Amino acid sequence: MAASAEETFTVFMRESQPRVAVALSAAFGADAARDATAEAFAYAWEHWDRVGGMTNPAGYVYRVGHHRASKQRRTPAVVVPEPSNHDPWVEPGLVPALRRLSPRQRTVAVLIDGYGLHPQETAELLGMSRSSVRRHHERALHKLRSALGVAIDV
Amino acid sequence: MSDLGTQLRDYYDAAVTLIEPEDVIEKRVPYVAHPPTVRHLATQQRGWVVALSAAAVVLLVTVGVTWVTLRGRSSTPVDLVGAGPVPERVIFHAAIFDEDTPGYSENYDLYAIDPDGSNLTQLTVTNANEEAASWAPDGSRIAFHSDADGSDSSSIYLMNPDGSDVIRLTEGVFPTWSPDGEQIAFEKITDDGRSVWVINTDGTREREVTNHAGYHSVPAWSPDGSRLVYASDPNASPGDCEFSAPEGSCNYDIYTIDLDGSNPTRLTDHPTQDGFPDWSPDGTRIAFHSDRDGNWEIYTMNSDGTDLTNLTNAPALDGNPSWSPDGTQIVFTHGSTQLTYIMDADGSNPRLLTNLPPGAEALWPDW
Repeated sequence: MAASAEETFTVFMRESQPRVAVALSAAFGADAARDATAEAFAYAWEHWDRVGGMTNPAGYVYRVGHHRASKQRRTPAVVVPEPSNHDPWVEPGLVPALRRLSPRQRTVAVLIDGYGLHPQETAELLGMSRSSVRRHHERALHKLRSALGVAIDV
Repeated sequence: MSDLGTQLRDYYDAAVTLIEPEDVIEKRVPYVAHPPTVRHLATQQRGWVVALSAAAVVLLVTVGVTWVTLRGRSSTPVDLVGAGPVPERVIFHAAIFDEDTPGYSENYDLYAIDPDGSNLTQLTVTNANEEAASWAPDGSRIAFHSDADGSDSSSIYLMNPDGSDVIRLTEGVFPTWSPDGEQIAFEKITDDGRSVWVINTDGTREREVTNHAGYHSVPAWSPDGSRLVYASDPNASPGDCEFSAPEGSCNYDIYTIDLDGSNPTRLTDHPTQDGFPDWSPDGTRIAFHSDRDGNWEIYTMNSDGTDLTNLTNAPALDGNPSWSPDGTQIVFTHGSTQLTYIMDADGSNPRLLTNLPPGAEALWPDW
């Protein structure tokens, strides 16, 4: 028996939401990303008969969320806030280093280095060419290493 | 200390809140009434294209007029070797990464600017990345690398300073003109590493100079055109010197080599990274950048590797040095903002050259 729309959407959302949410958080900050991610997946469910048949539905949902976050950006946005006391410990220089990256550089670095996405997967999610992803990744790592020192491995 | 990937994941795991699919299906989250359609996105892109095209026309007309003015007195072909190179402007690539700044672009384009910081002109307006430009000795052409063909590798292109007559020369990166203007040295990237090559500017006689294993990068010519200076790690294995490799797996030092591939000579020997060398116009000194003191600085040394001098000595990042045509100044990339600066050849009098908007980067200058 064929899976229901609820089932296919649930599988899709469980699989794609982490990368979409992280990508939007890296670009716009967690607060803006939370609303944008919710709205984008809600739209995808509302139109699941069409979105579910797309070759790259995660990329489409990301684009919807990116558009939403761009329109509703808070000013000034705290895109990379300091971690709270109950968050896992992170290197004190990480937040200032992340703030020095462009939104694209930060997004690409977080997806590839933080979440292990392949550059091709990253390119498909963000709607970029693989060579552009490579360039943003190189620039991001160069800046992060310059800011954090040479002791940190990737 | 945990690695950077773990740090990034820990930080964003704590920041991101995931939603249950059931809450979406049951419509317990807000709904986007007017999401972007494909047509809407295309219209947005067309708007940018129209705006950028209009800007490009204005800029290119400005550039053209400027260049006709600047080059008018040197438009007659003359033997420029030994008479001092003609280029009077600094060329670099730049992008404005701040999405709130007018002119925002995620792609690098080429720009030129007078050494006093005036007459900033944009030379390319594309959706590709044009980078690492190099003047022909007579200023009549510019070489650069670009990912314009959409493949995973970059190619070397030549164009007129007004952006016209663009030709693709070969696959490679970091082109640099020979002093006689007849050849271009460049770096070729393969799965086995990186190597230094030379090609005639008409596309003939492409040949490898560094015919041995390892990584050999970012060449520059000696003023007499007989040798190349470059960064090299001949002991690196494939992948060791790529950005994704762990720190410490690659050790670039500065080398020189004859144009026929003979006499490779090591000039620096330090366990950190030395790179981006450039030979002074009189042939006596070589400038390069290094992180040997724990921070990227500009150094110069005699062309035999002696008399090493740190020119920058600043806590900020300094890199990508290029000599002025008269050898009295050096242009370079400086600081966390990654903008282009100029200093005297002894390291004194550093000053900002590219006064660009917030979020801009101006990199890899050539003078």
